[in-house]
Amino acid sequence: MGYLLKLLNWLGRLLNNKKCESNFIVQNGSVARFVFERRKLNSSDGSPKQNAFAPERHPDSNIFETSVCGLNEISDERLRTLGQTIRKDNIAIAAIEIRIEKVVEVGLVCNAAPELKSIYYPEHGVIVGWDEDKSLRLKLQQHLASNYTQTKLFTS
Amino acid sequence: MTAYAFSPSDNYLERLDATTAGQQGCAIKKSIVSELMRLRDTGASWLFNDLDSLAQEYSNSMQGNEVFNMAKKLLLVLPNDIIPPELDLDNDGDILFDWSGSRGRMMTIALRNDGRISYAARLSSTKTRNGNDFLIDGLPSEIIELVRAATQQ
Repeated sequence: MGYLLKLLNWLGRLLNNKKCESNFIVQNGSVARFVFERRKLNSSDGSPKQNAFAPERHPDSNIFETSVCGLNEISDERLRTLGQTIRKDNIAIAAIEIRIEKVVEVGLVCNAAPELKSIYYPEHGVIVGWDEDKSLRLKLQQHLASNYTQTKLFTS
Repeated sequence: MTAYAFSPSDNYLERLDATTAGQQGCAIKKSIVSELMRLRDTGASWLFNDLDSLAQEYSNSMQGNEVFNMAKKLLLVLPNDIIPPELDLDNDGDILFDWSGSRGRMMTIALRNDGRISYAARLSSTKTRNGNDFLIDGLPSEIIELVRAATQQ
């Protein structure tokens, strides 16, 4: 089953890697980054730290990606449900919203996620275009953390 | 030879009332207490406990873990006038030290297990600095100045 999902994701990436927009990710809209650990927020005011936007190297493509959720026409209720269900082992404590124009202005790109598993999570998107140099990634993460529009805290 | 041993789960500020053996044991304990008091005065002693908590959150032990040992080294060489950073573990295993100042200023140091430092400072929307260096005997002066610039009132 795991191999089949991997194959599907690989095929999805192959077929969809030019796909930039979805119904949920539009270039003049916003995306949200789910936060699962309190340490990703500043203890003083709850604003996001740079690390809230840290990318991870994708195991198949080997490129750095930051997973986000497209916010075009999605309700707060759906956002909260996604935050509770997208990770099997953890529940999101907050969602940080940022306009895509703020992502793009520093050379990053926000795309709809190419995996076929996005059938189940069609709002899934990725921020790509990260540099291999870690200090440059930190600089861009700081830019994103400085330009968020709001943090939605999920209280249980 | 005498050594003062902390157990892996020890809180740094607890167990200091434990009995020590011999003159050298007492001397070592005295110097540990005096160093911890110095760190407490600078507001930095709780950082060692926070580092320990961070290790436990990620099911690591500070003892014997190279990156946490490096992080302790970095905390010990921070000048007294620098406010304590917030700590986190990056998804690549680096320890992160974050400072945030007024008007959105930020400074981040990512420390790798071999002492390599990646850093970025955001002093305004148009003034940013970033680079890579190594923690050898101390923090490079340029990085210390960036921390001061990011945290000044």
